[in-house]
Amino acid sequence: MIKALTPFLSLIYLIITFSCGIFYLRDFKRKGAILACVLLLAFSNLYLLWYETPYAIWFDGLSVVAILALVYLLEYKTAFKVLSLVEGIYLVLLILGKTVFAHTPQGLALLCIAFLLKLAVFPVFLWLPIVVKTIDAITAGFFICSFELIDFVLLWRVIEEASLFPQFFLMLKELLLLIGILTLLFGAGLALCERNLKKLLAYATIDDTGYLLIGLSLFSPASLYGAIILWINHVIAKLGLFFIVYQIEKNNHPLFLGRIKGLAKYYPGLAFSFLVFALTLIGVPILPGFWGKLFLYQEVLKISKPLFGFMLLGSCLTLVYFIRAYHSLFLGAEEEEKVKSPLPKLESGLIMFLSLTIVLSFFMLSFFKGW
Amino acid sequence: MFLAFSVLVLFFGALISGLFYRINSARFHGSIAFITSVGSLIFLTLVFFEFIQFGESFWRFSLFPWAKNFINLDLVFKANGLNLFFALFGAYVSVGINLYAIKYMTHEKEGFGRFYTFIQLFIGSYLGLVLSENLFWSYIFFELTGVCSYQLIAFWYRSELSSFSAKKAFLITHIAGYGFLLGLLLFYLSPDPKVYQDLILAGLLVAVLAKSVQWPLYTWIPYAMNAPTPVSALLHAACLVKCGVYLLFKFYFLFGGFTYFWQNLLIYLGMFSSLIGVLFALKQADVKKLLAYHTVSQIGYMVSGIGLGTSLGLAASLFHTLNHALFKGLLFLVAGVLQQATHTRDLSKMGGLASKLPKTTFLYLIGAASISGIPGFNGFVSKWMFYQAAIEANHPLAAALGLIISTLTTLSFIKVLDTAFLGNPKTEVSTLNEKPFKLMITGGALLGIPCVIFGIFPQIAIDFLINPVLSLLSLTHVGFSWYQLPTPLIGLLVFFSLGLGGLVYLAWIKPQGIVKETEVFKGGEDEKVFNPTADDFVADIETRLASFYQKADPDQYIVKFFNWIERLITKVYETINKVEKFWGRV
Repeated sequence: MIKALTPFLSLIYLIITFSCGIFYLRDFKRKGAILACVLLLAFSNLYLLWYETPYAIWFDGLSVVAILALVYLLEYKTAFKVLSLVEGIYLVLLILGKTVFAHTPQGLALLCIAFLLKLAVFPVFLWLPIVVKTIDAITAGFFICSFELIDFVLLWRVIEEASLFPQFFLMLKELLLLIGILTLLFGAGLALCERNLKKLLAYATIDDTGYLLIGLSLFSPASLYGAIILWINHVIAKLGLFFIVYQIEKNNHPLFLGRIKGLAKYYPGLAFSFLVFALTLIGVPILPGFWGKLFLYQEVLKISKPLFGFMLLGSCLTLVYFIRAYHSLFLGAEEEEKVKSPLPKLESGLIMFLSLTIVLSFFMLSFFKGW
Repeated sequence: MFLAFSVLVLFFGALISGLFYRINSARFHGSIAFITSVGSLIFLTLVFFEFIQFGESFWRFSLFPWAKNFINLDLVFKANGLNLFFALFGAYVSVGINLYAIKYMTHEKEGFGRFYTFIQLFIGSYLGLVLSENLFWSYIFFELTGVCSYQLIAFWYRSELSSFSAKKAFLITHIAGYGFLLGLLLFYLSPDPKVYQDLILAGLLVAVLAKSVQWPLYTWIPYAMNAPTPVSALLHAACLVKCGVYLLFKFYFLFGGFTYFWQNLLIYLGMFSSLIGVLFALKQADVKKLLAYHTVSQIGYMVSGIGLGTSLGLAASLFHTLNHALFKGLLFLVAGVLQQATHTRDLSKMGGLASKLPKTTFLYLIGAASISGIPGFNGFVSKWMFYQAAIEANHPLAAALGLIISTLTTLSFIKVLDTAFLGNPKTEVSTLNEKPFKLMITGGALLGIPCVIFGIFPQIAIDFLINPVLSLLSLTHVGFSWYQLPTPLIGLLVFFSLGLGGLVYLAWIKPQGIVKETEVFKGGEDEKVFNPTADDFVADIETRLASFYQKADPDQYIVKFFNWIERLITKVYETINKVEKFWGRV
């Protein structure tokens, strides 16, 4: 299934790179160097998406170098330090898993840990909010979405390979399910308390990753369909949300809930986009997120009612933190002195992601016919 | 095909309003909404005639057949007694309210495209919900009605109160909606859903309590009154709040009845909600909030009627559902006229409006008489059926509670009549006249006329709308006719009596000058002591029931519970934050 998805995923990856690239070229210094990093990252990640060769590890390394170089060029010192540590551990685990312990359950376990670290799941999620807090929203969205896209594919491949070792496969699935539920609950709970919008989105990413893990751990056709829908939906909607944060932060200070409100008057397009992205991540019908969650709910309910309850609890928390953020930022009486004019127009990248979300609401399930 | 058209025409209208949102004209968008809702009603009427002639029909659109192995997402609209009953009254009420809204919305400066997009989307979703055969689509439409309600309550999004009200409504109804999702998933996944009947019904009940504003999840509805009046009338009186009632009927049908435990639970939960609703309504000075609490109260009769489980009980519930949509819609429209005429919703600031707004007063009297269960109006018939059904089903307590609640309802509407319409006219309304509200009154009249017709000829509604539902539920038909006479004969008698009265008046009383024309009766002498305001009523009731009101509001307990959860999560968050800071430093 994942092979059939590769062209579609590559297209999404290119769209992400292209949209973020436009921002980098327009608003950032050191355009040439940044562009080179982005292209290098795109090249190595696309290779990883398409091919499973022994050389792939070199492209993993290339990808790590590119992302670190990008953060270094943008002068985000804290993020660079944290990412260096995370990427270093990731590379070590990867090398061990693909060389010394290659094609053994131990090797697969090491690879799983490496990818789970990059996906920022429970209990190794702490690095993500620290990084996201200290960098601009475009870079945050870019690296979150590209990590999510690539590392999820790599994790999927490992799980497929793990099915060759039935006992290990069963244990891995159970462990992933547990990690998925805990990731979901921790991500959602922490997002609920967070006031910094970028950090909130980072926790929301952790929350969404929990769903993806649950889908992957169940490994049934319906759960995998659900996970894929949520995955694509997450990448598009989350990047859209980071674009919104970037556009608002461009005119104002870093966004903290409660400090600024009533933005819908000045940014009606952004308010609408935020709402659509938030609703699809919550899983409100008939946006794509709903279809994904529906498939997952169904599969989880088949195996355990308490787990289904935890998933519902997670969804309720997601609903609360997104709606609270939306109301806190966009609705209510505006505070004019805190908002600078002129009104920015909706960026083409944002319009594209918004349109994609709306179109996918109706056609997402039709796409699967071919897969 | 007409079934699909009845829904699609509204979605198409919503799309047009959404695409042309830049046209900032209330008339443009209002006309589109009116035309699409009339179109939808026409299509549904055609389906209804077909149903009477040939029986049930359906329209199927096969969606994602490849996924059928693990989920059936076929969109199927079915025209049976139950679905058509809910669809027809919803479509009819929306025509009246859309007509009213054309004029009402001219007071706004912007947001017409947004408003009418969601209004049409709401009506389409409501019809989708009640016509859908597949429960997955019922859930999708159920949630879509919630999203529309959320956006419409937030219409004045720059107001803190509207923003808060919308958030509260959406959070409560969406979270409770997961109960329905649990119910439907269990229903489809189990080989024998009856095994999980209790769990399915428990999930469903949570969704119903929130959507159909029953105790203890009704607390969003008073806040939802901070929306434009057509929204309050259409969503929070006529249609949205009936979604839960519809689902109870649907699951009653799917399970072939409820168990003894569930019947009793529904009967007394309904009556308890009804009592709480009317007691809170009594102390309200805000006319729309008062009506909102009466919605809680009246829906209690419907839920309780379903719990009775007999033909007459279910028929009473259905008839009250229809009646409530009409009279509560009408009362909200009247409240909207009052609000625009006096620029306030506070009854204390109104007075003597009967002389200034006679047609509105007349419509109010029809609505108030209907909801209070005055003989000759539709509310009386459905309440009478409920009392009779409760006594026959050996639940005299429910009947007694119903009577008490009805009496308190009457008191509440006497208060409105006395403070807003009778008494001394307030200075602020001295230049008031009814001309600008012509279209709004016409919209209201569309809802008021059936209140009288169904009050005098209940058999029309029972024969054509309610008995087909009872057939579907495998229950015996009911009959309700004054003095056991056939409907046409009663009609003839009524018209004969009215004609005779008119003739006597014109031929004898008027020429003789027996009746003198005089000013409107204002409710007694003009002394202040005889002209109580809503505040006087409120103060008196609040003093007497102070401790009850303090303890009975479920909001405080819900808020306490969620605050406790939040504190728990905050502790985890603070710990994680400390670790994060430490890690950041390292």
